[in-house]
Formats: sequence, structure tokens, C-alpha cells
Amino acid sequence: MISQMNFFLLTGLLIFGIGALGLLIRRNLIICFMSIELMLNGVNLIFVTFSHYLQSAVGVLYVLFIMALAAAEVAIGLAIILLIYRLKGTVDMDSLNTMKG
Amino acid sequence: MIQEYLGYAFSFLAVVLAISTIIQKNPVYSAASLIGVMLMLACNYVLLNAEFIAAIQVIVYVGAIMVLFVFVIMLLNIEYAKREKLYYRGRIFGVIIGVALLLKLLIVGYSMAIKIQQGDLPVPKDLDSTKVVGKYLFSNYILPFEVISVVLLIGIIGAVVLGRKERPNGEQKEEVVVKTIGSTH
Repeated sequence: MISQMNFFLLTGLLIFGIGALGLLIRRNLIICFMSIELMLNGVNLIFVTFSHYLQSAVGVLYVLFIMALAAAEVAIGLAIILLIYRLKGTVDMDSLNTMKG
Repeated sequence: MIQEYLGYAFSFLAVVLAISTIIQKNPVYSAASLIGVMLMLACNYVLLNAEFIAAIQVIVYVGAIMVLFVFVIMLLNIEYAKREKLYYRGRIFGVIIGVALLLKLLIVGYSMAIKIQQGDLPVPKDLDSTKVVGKYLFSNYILPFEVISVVLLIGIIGAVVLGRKERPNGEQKEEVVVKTIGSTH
């Protein structure tokens, strides 16, 4: 039986891994962006877990900074997605081949 | 004891909803699942004695970020997104790489021992989570706090600049106004 700290850490790792998997396999830009949010949430859970079990305040403070960064990132990223939609008429990643990547 | 079982239930629901987020075809269902993940994580934060973080998670993530997502989904054409094929042969490589990354994280996390017993910035016994955050945010972490406000300001300006309509020169707007006034008479 694993301890409860390891259980929360496992949950955070699983959510991070599911987010990375979604980023790799989905082609819709909106859903890829949601996968990035999933990864950030997994990291947040790990931070809070360590902060609770090590009796330290650093993890909680870093979670605050990550949330503020995520808010700024979402504002700019969704504006870019809207621009791409206005330009191309689609948000499919495979259609974004202007730079021949 | 009941808290332990609640933690298991919330974590299980969070993982199930996370899987649902990445395999839904409709982006609206995906966003709803992601809101569920964030609410379950907020419940976990309450169990981990971080009530302030739980409140901020609900307010910022669910109340602001996901509302923004749903607004943008409303502006896009989701009929096209529903036609995305989820299963084809090229995608199997992405699945293999993703599962390999997940397994690697799990193996490293399982085999690594946590050496520290007590972190920096210890939490005083008589303070709750909100007081601890306020105490350290405005003393030890005042510089990152100020820097993050600048980052948010840049985010606002960037979103406004990106979302603005393209205009070749400044006089076009006045011309349009004159035309509409002229057409009403």
C-alpha cells in the first residue's frame, strides 16, 4: 500500500503525462492548448503536495506564480489562435504549413 | 480516515476526466472535462490544507481561463473539429512516445528517494494557509510578485495588439464614420 503523499504525487504525474500525450496526439489547436493547461495543473498538484508534507510554504507560492503565468499565456495564446483562424479558416495543426516545417 | 478515501476518489475522478479531456472530439465536451479536472484538483488542495490555493484555482482557472476557452470555442467552427479522425496509423507513434514519457516519469519518480525532511520557509503552527501565503508573498517573494504583475500587463497589451483589427493607415476609420453619416441622410 502506497502512502497518501505518494498517491497525490502519482496523480500529479499521471495528469502531467496525460497532458503530454494529448499534446502529442491531438491536432486541434484548442485541445492542444487545453493539454498544456492539464500539464500545468499536474505540476501544481505536485507542488502543493510537497508543500503540505514537507511543511514548507515555497510550493504554495510557486503555484500562485504558475497560475498568473498561465493566465497571461492563455490570453496571448487564444488571441494567436483566433488570428490563425481568421487567416486560415481552420485551427487544424496540419494545415499550418506556411513555414514548411 | 474519511479524508484519505476522499483524496482517492477526487484523484481517480481527476485522472478519468483528464483522459476524457484528450479523447473527446467536440472541444466543448473537452473544455467541460477540463473544468471537472480543475474542480477535482481544487478539492484535493483543500485536503492538502491549501484552502487559499483551492479558492484561487476555482476563481482563476475555472472562472477566468476556462470561460475564455469556451468563448474562443464559440467563435470557432466546431463542425470542422468534430470531423477530426482520432485513430489512424501515423498517430500510433505519438501514442508510443507519450506513453514512454509517462512511464519514464513514473519509473524515475518511483525509484527516487526524497532526501529532504523539511523545506525552506517553514509554516508556523498557528497560521493558516492564507496567512502563510500573505506573509511570505510580501516579504521573501516580493520581487517575483512585482515581476509577475509586469508579465500580466504585457499579457494584456499583447492580447489587445493581437486581437485588434488590421488597419492600413490611421485615416480609414474617420472616412468610414463620414460615410455612415452621409448615408443616413
